[in-house]
Amino acid sequence: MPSEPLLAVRALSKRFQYWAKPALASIDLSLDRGRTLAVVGPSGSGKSTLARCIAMFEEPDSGEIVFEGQDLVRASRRERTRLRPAIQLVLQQPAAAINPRFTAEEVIAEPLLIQRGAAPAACRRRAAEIMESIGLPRSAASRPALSFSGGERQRLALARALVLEPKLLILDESFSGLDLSVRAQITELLTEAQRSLGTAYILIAHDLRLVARFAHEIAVMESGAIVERGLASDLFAHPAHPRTIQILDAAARLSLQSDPGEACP
Amino acid sequence: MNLLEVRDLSVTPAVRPKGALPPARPLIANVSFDIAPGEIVGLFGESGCGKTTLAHGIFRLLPPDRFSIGGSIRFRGDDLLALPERALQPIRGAGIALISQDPFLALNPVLRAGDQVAEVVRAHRGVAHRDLRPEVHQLLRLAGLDDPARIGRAYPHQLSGGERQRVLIAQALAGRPSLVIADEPFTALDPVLVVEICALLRNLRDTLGTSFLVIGHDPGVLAHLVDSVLVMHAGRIVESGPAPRLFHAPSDPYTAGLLRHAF
Repeated sequence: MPSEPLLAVRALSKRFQYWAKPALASIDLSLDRGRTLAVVGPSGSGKSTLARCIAMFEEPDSGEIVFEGQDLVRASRRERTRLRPAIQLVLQQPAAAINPRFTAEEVIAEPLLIQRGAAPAACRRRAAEIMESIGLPRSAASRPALSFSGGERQRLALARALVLEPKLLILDESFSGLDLSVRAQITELLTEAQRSLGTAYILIAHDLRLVARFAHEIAVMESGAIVERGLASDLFAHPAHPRTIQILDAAARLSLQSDPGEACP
Repeated sequence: MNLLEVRDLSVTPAVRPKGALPPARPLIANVSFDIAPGEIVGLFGESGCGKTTLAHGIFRLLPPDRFSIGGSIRFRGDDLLALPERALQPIRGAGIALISQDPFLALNPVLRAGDQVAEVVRAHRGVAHRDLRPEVHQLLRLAGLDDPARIGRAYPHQLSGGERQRVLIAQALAGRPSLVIADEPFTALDPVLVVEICALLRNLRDTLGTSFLVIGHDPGVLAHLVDSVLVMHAGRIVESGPAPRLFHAPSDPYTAGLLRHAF
């Protein structure tokens, strides 16, 4: 039996009220375990709506989202609740995703308490471990979450998602506020998690240098549709769609090097 | 004469965290730099190094009961640190404008974009009520928004990220400032938009003579936009110089270390 992909999205469409154009227009994509798919495109092209549909935060109008053989769109409430820990979404705005009254440790340990019902002491221990792995000192565990800088809060949000060891982690512009050194550290951590746990990632990012380093495949979105899709190395070398060419050209101008594809592994 | 002259600026938290014995570490330590009229200066550094604190310090947004501030900030010759709060009002917006970090949070969600630009025009310039709308539309057009009528009527949530950033730029320009401080204006914009907004800022500099202090942590974007760069680390300026040279051949080991991660 051929192994089925972790995630298969078929003919996914979504319209918002009062919007002239559909937010998602018949999206098809698939993602295997242990792989990273980058979704790039201009703002308003539907990237975040796609992410929110896959993470079950948004109801699509039609189409299928098959995760481990189960269609999330038609799944019962109970089944969706069971699947939620396996699909985690990290948003762009870390401040909005974190309870301002929590300490760093509480932010990270809460999902474990809720989803796994683990003992509080064990949760705290795990939270401290994961804090260290994302480059925050253990000693900061009892500091209020809002006393951290924007980049640090973003790392807390990532730690909160990773602590459940999801099978699919959706990173919606989760790196945009981060320093380059921190970004390098976190991509290393994510790559390691992918190697050891087989985590699949959907990376929504504007920074093509990050995409070139991190993603196996790239999908380019425009006006709610995927206009081009391919292996990262192919797409950087031979972009076909005008939108892809435009994005690559702009990224090249913003690079200290001449060509963002040079950073491609 | 320089438009802005910052000399030995230091910012130290006045209130120590409870139970902390050692004196509070300065957030900004002996920072000096100049901005010439029409110059675009980049402030480059890692998060937490004091970039935003410096921007807020120049704008005098740091409450004096919570921060002790030393040194001087001369803007068109006046020391902003010596001016009474009332004398600052005409400078904020009409002398120096601030574009703050998050385009999602910087706009009021329950007011139309056009009204938020009009508010600044009304506050700083004696524009008659009937001329307000054309003036707002002109500012939106200046910020590269080709459909000012639609944008002006829209609420922030109806705008795309790029449109919101441009509304903020229009708002910043509304008081006709000679210096605009933009704190991370490119976060969350796609590269095509970043290139467009860079071109817009340079064009505004060329046509209006506006100076810009652009805060950022992406050396590629800053190298593309700015004339000169200040590199900040732990509240100090560790290196400064013309943009292309500094990014391609940094002399400070800290800068070189940071750029190692740029790819």
